[in-house]
Amino acid sequence: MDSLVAAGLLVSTLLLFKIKKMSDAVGIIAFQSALLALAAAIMGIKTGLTHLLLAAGLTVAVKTLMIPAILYYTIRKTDARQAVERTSSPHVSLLLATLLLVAGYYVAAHLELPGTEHGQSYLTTSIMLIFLGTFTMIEHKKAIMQAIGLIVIENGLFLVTQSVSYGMPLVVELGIFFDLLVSAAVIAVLSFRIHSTFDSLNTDKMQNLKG
Amino acid sequence: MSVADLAAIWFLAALSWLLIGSITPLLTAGHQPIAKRLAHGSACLGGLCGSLAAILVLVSQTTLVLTAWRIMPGLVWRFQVDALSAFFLLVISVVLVAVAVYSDGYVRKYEQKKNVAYLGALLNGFALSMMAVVTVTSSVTFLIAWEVMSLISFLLVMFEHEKEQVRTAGYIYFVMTHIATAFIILSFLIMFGFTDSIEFMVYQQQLMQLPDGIKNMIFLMCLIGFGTKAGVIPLHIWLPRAHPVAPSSISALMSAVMIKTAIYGLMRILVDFFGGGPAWWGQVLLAAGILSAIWGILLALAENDIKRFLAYSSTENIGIILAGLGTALIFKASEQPVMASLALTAALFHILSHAWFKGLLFMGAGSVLYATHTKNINELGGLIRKMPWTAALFLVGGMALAALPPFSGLISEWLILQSLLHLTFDSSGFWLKIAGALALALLALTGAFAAGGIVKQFGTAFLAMPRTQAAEQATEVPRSMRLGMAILAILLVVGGLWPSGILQLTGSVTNRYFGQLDGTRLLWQPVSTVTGGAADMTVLAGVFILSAVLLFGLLRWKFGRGTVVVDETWNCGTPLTPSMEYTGTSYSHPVLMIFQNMLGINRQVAVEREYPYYPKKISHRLQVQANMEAYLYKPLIAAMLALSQRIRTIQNGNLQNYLAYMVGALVIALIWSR
Repeated sequence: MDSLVAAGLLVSTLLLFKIKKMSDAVGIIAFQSALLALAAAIMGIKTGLTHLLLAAGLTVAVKTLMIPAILYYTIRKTDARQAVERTSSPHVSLLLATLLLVAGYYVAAHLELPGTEHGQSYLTTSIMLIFLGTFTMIEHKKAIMQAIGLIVIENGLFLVTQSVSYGMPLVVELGIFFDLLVSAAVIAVLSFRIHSTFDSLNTDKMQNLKG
Repeated sequence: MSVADLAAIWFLAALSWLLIGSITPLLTAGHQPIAKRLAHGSACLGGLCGSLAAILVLVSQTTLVLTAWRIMPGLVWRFQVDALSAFFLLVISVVLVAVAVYSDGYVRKYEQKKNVAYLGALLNGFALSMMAVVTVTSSVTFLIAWEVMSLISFLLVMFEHEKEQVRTAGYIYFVMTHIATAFIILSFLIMFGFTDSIEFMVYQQQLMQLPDGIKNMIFLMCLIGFGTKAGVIPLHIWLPRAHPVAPSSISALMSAVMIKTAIYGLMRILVDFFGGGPAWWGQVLLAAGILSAIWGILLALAENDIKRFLAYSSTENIGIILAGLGTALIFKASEQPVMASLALTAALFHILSHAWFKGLLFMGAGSVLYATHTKNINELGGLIRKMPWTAALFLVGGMALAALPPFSGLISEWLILQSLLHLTFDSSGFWLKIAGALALALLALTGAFAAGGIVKQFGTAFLAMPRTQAAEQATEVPRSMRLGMAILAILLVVGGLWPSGILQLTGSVTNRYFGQLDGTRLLWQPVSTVTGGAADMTVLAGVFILSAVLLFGLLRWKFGRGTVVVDETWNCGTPLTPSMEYTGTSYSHPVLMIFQNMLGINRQVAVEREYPYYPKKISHRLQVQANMEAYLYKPLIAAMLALSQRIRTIQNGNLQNYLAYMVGALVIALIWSR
């Protein structure tokens, strides 16, 4: 079951480099977050920690419902064409993402962390998610996709906390969810502003603002 | 109640008044007249209390220690007023009293234009931070106070920020003062690294045992750091820009007092912590001092702007003070404590008299600015008839600057020259003697130029006929401004006529570090010889006065009473007009031409001709290009910019690039750590 969830997470992330429409990315995020909630719930049942279940519920509420809704709304309102813009072609970016996957696997295999009896399979995945999320932010030019990358990174971090240390204190968890929600909202607002100023969501246009 | 307790109470009172003065004007900023009174009243009272505390400490030779605030474990804000601190506290407080009184009238200049409540509050905060700088007891608290002082003075310089020139000057000041702070922080970090303590008390005991290389490094850092703040050439470039554009009351404080806090820092570290150091430290200080003095006064001589002249003259006087300090260190290194004492006394005395006359002169320049709205002497003239009080007080300050009797400027410069004479005759080593003689000659030349400079400024601005309408319509400044200037003028006379009083104050500093100064070396023997066979001063003076009286009598008897006829200036019959007057530019022209290669002078003469031998109009411009800036700072700035451009390729503001750096760093760190 664990391997299946991990594989689902990885494949869904890799799909981010193949998509053509931005709204697909939002769907991927929602799916990935749902898988994450599932992983957390499994872990909660295994270890009998109730706050993991609570975290799973919050993940569903915030990451699979609210944030995708906000992002989808923004995309609908700002960009009619919805096409993604990359710095390199989809094939090259997929190749680079695979390289990062290998690097992540190599790195994670040599990490010796305490308390990984349940979470060893997730540790590798989470590091890969962090790498791929950052790579999404590097690769894509549109502001919305920066938010997508950020959420992937956050998912990776969430996975590492709940697999290695069985989640963080609930207050911290709540704080992180709130942060994420606010940052998604801020990015949405900024996207509106960027769109109204430059008539595009491409962050390259913002280079002109430099002094 | 002991004297120390009494002094502590006065010191606390001073700090409290200044604190009140920096807060209450802000609260009453809506009612400017009230805010103005509150600010200047507290500043004046704070200055008075501070002077009293300082004099009590100096006379009774005690040390005050006050613990103010435990910031965190191991970092306590403590005030300690020992002899050295008290001396500088006195310098600050006395000038503060005069400036506070003066400001009360001067800020009327800004009525309807600016909110003077902020100026008043900042004035108090500035004074408070300066007092803190000279009395705190650990490197961290010193740096906090130092930085607050720098920032407040920057805000004060920028008070008229709507003018382009002010903003440029403020920016240069900001950059230079932070370069200075960086070097000072470095030197304190080295000290911390070797002693593992931030307390000055530990430094006093342990720093002498440091290896020589480290000591030298600290010395060089301090020299650059404090030298920049003091305005030593070639680190002076902020000074002639920032001082003229600040409000005049603030220029007076900055020039008379703030740059002295840098001298305090140097003395604290070199004399108090290191006990003098090797001889070459003194030689470097002496050389830097003499260079500053001569170059500063040459640049001053070229200036037609009164306040810029005064700012360059500050560079010159800081040079003289440094020369005194350097001589003291040289003597200390060669085990001649009494001579070292004499040289340090000279430096301290000059700090005091420079604070007084430079404060007075900046206030005088401010009065001229207040009355005529210009600082350019070529647009002034004839002010002595419109503003007799200001003219007289300005002349007092000017005579002190030119080291003329009977003002304290004479005594202090004389002491410096005397200690250099001792360096020439009593020091060991042939080259040192030569250097002493050379320094003496250059300092004497500096004195001559200073006199020439002040004659130019005073003569062009105050004498002859008004050149412009602004000068013609000038009226005498308000009473409080005159009173503020008069306070310092009186002190200059007191210092000149009763130097032993001042020497008592400086004595408690020099006694502590070098040793008792006997009067013989100080006044009775202008040039002591090894056998001690110099003539007694009273006999010399008696002979001089007697021969002068005899000569006068002889002439009177031979030729009778002379006749004086007062008449109009002869001008070939045409009416006198202001354009016939000698201008400031033409006054300094001959001297500048001698040094034109050194200074880099740009001279333009344009003649409008109608007939070959009868030109209609000749215009003459002289511009000092300041070779120092062209050859030293331009390449430095260019190199800095080129380097920044290189860095710009990495630091390019592209979000994706930054993220790529992050991923790269993360991968490398993870691989590294396994």
